[in-house]
Amino acid sequence: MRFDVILDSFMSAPDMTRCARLADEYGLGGLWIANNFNTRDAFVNFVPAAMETSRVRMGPTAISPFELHPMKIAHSLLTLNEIAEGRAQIVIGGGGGTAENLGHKPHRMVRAVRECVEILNQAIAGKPGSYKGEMYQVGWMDVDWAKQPAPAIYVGANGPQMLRAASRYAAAIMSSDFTPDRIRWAHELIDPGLNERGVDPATFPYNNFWAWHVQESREQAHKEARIYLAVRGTIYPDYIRDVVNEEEAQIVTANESEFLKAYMAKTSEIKGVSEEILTKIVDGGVSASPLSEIEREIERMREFRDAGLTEIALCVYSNPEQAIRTIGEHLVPALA
Amino acid sequence: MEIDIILNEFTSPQQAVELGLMAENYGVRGVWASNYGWSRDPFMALSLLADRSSRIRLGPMAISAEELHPLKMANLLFSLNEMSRGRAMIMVGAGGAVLQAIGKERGRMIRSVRECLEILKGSSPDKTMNYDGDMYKVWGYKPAYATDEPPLIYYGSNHPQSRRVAAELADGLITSDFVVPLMKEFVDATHADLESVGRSPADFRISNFWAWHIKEDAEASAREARRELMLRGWLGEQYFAPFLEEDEVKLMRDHEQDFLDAFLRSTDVIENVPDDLVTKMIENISFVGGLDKIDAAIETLHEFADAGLTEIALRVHDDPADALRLIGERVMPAMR
Repeated sequence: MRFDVILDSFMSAPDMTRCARLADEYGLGGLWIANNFNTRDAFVNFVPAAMETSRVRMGPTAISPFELHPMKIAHSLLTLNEIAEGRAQIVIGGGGGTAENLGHKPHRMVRAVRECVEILNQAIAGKPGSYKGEMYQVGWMDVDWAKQPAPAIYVGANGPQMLRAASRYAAAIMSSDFTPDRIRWAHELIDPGLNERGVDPATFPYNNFWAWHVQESREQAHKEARIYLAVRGTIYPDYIRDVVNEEEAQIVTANESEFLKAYMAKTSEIKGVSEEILTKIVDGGVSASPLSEIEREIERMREFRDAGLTEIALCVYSNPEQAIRTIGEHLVPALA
Repeated sequence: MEIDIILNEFTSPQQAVELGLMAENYGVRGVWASNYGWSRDPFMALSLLADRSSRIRLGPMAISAEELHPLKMANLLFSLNEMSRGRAMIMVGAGGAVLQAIGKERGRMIRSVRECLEILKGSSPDKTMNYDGDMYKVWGYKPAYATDEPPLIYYGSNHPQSRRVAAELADGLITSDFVVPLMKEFVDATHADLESVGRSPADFRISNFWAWHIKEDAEASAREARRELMLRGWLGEQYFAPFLEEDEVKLMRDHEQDFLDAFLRSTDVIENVPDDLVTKMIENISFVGGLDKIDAAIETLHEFADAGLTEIALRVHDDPADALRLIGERVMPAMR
């Protein structure tokens, strides 16, 4: 199983480069930056890291064609790929905050993502030509300077429609905040499409964005995890029942705004939701064990692997370098 | 008057480092990366140079808000600016080849650039921006990382309406293919525009894109200049009228397709147009010829300086290192 790390969107290029070197040394598979409208451009910011590493892959997650035309995405991705000598990667998603902060309202997301990936694939294939989609056009594209091994292109997919559609054309998929049971559910949706095109579901690159809050103590870990629950898909109606019962789910849904308030204030205090419920969400929806109980997280990773993940992207928060060491020293060897 | 270099559209990030550092050592003020539908991403192409250089300014030209939303443009620009420690610049334009390549047409060009300049100039690490323009929206933008000396923002402007917007909102403007008499008129008008909005001409930068074809081999120089001639002012009458007779201008306009065919076929053979007319055109609207033409080029550069340019952007084509060497060794000392 491959282990990736997702770094803080606000990280500077020198800090990213330090993390990248470490990830390279520990044999991690990839580095990601979560796309955010208020941060440095992810492609540009990866350049020093690309120059100072040799193995680890790198790229942004997720870029939406509603924020950047697919041909522009292709140019940025392939330029990073050239600098990284074939180690660039990207997740293409259908919406996200950035597009909304530009005043764009994503629509026909499944179609938009598919057309975007088709344009990227056309660019990567190195065939000069045009593209006429329903949503995106390319008058002429010729990137014959792109000679490196192809970058990895993932489709960001959580919903049934996007998962089914992606299974019919994507080279890789990344979901977010899916529990092992939810990964099994996703495989039921994508396996038919994969089988139809002769792709073995067992080896198809399937990744999952997963929050990593492992700290020295359980208290520290849970405190950090609670701050970020508002940005976990887990607490929202489609997924909350994956980690709590029906009655508890209704309480969580009724208090969604409290999670957001806690996130904005960077506090672990979430009003209206009991300690018991919060603990269940954190225990089931993210990795927040104390370091002394790292075996529990190793076991969780085995569950993910057995459910059908081939790779996992662990989103790290405070002290990312320590997190990379922990992942590199404990998880990588255990699931090699 | 300072000298900038415009790198050709085929320049890789590694080549940009070699050429950019060479230019820096010669005392060149800045390097520009060309933005074409088939080029690398111009911000990315300069990112390695940004990291490794220490004095030279750098930036992409021209970027249109119709191809790249101003907020995305701002993050790319500020990221490049941070990486270069406050030496980034950009030329914003109405859109050309890239716009066509992504299947879009020029719309409200002046409005588009005006809103783009307002967003770029209004972005601040200290104050949240909410911008509700006719064409672009920005919600909640606050690039906290953008704390370096702000980048220089130019408007690519050849016309009175865009010139007035530049005088109002930009740090400078860049014309293209203006011969000296045109330049003089435009600079005078720009200064008047600046004064009308209460800005001092002393604080405003004015540059002109000018093609450099001079080589050791005079014939190779002429071939290159002929091949590229279509791009000189897109054969607009106003650019050639100062040095062509009326009947020559008409002949040129009547044979626009022949010039375009030569460019598209990458040949110096311009069918159906007399050689002496082509020679007259290339000799007046670019620097062309063998090494014996350098002194005349320097004389023209002094005339541009006298016309009021603060800098000039010399566009190099084939064998850019050779061109840069000539500029560095012959032109730079003469312009100090």
